[in-house]
Amino acid sequence: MIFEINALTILVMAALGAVSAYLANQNIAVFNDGMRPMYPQYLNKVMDRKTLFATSFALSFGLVIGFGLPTSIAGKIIIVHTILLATDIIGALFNDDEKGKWLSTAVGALFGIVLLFGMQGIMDAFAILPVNFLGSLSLVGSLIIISFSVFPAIAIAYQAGVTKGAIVLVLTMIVKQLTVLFGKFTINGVSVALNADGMALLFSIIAMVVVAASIKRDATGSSAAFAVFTKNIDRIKKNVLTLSLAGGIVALATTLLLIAEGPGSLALTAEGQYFEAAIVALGRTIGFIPLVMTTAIISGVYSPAGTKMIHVPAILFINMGIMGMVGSFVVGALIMVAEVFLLGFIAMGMDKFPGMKDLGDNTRTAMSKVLDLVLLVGGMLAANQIAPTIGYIWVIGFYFLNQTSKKPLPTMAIGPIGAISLGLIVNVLHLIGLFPIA
Amino acid sequence: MIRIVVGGQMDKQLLARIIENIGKDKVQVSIKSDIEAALAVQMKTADYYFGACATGAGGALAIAIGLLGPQSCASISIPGKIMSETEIRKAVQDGKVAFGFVNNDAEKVIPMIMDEIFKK
Repeated sequence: MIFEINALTILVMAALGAVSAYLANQNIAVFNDGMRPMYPQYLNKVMDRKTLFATSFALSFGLVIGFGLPTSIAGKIIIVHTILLATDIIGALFNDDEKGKWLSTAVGALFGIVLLFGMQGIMDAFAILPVNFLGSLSLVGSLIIISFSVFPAIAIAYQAGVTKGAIVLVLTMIVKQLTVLFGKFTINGVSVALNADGMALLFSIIAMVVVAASIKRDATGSSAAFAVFTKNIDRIKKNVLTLSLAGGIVALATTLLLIAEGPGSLALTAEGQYFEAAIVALGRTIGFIPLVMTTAIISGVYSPAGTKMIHVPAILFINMGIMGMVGSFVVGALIMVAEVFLLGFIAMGMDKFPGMKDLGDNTRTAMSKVLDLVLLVGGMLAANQIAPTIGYIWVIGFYFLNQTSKKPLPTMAIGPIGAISLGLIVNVLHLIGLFPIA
Repeated sequence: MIRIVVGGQMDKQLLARIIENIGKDKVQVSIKSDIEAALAVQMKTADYYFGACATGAGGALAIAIGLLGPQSCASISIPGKIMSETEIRKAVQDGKVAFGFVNNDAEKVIPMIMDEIFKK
């Protein structure tokens, strides 16, 4: 893994597991957006704790095993879902009484530590296999780095038609090409090189926001619908201190390279491209603001990572030493406070600018479509490097078999799982003499 | 004429296209934000709500569950699990009016839901 295991990282992972399990147990915040609307049923005693736990387990367990773990192993940073979806489940497992509160907090802390050592343990175990495929796994995320600036053009196409999408796509390519050719210059003897992928991303995201803001649409009347939920907003505000603590810890864990907010920024962070990673995280935040905030308002339950905005400065604070860590924690906590107090305001604002809410939906669709494809192709490239004879066959076959399955894994996970499983398969083949090492 | 709103948060255009292809002139489909769509069902200006997202429960159905109540909503698929055909048909017959699923499962589940809606 990219992170180091030392007293500080062990402590931060324990704190992250503890605080998020505590928040889930006390019905204050859960990470799974689909779990939030279940909590009012529980709080109004329509649903009992057992059913709440069963629902949380059903919604999140598959994502932890099928998406979180393989993505983390392939990318060498823990994707945040792996810990925060697990602590959703841990929190719901125990009763929300005094005993359950501290039990779930303790189990959450333990889970954080076990995950930290477990991930490194898996890496170490893979490293001693006769056919070492760890180096090839970085290919899984390699396309994200050079092609992720494509997603805003697709979001624009969803929202404003193919023509506008195509124009932005071409402009994005031109911006990247021009930056590669002319982005190196010298100011006062200091040579400056602009990063082409970063510039292309920045351009396309700005284009996306401009197009979305220019779309006129009638107001939705949802502020009237939301007015009945003011007591939910008050419930979240009451817990602002604990939430800000969670925000600070999530930010600090991001800065320490322990966790990453999504597959895009994970791959970029792992390559040391922090500026690009921060832009990608910002783009994802735009996509998640409406989802997280609306589900929070209808349920009175927030997210331990908020709208994911806390990750943006946290990524920029990487490698800035002790001041970076302190800065990350403080800024993360402050952003969480700001989000909580802006909840009602932003919900009403979405009513005035419906284009911005559509932008969120379209951004999430576009990003996940692009990630589905590039992680699949990345998985194929990695598999081909591990075993040129059977690599492509395995991943392509796995993709289509999964599509026909009654229990399909998320498409995004096929690339990572395909590459990792092929690595294990060739080791078995090697043991029985069918995969000689050249 | 059955009035269907596509809310949810992902792949709305795809959902609307699949529903229109199946329902032809028997359905009237409109794409809305999840809040508008759930409100439309609440105000009875629409009969059914369809929504998709990456997890089948968050963006797809969360607002509908909040506004219409869980007794009116069915999570048809989540990552790693799709309801069986029997369960899907039973959900429609039991009076569920809002359906959420994983966007990649849309082509598998929408035909069954629509078929059962037409039987009602």
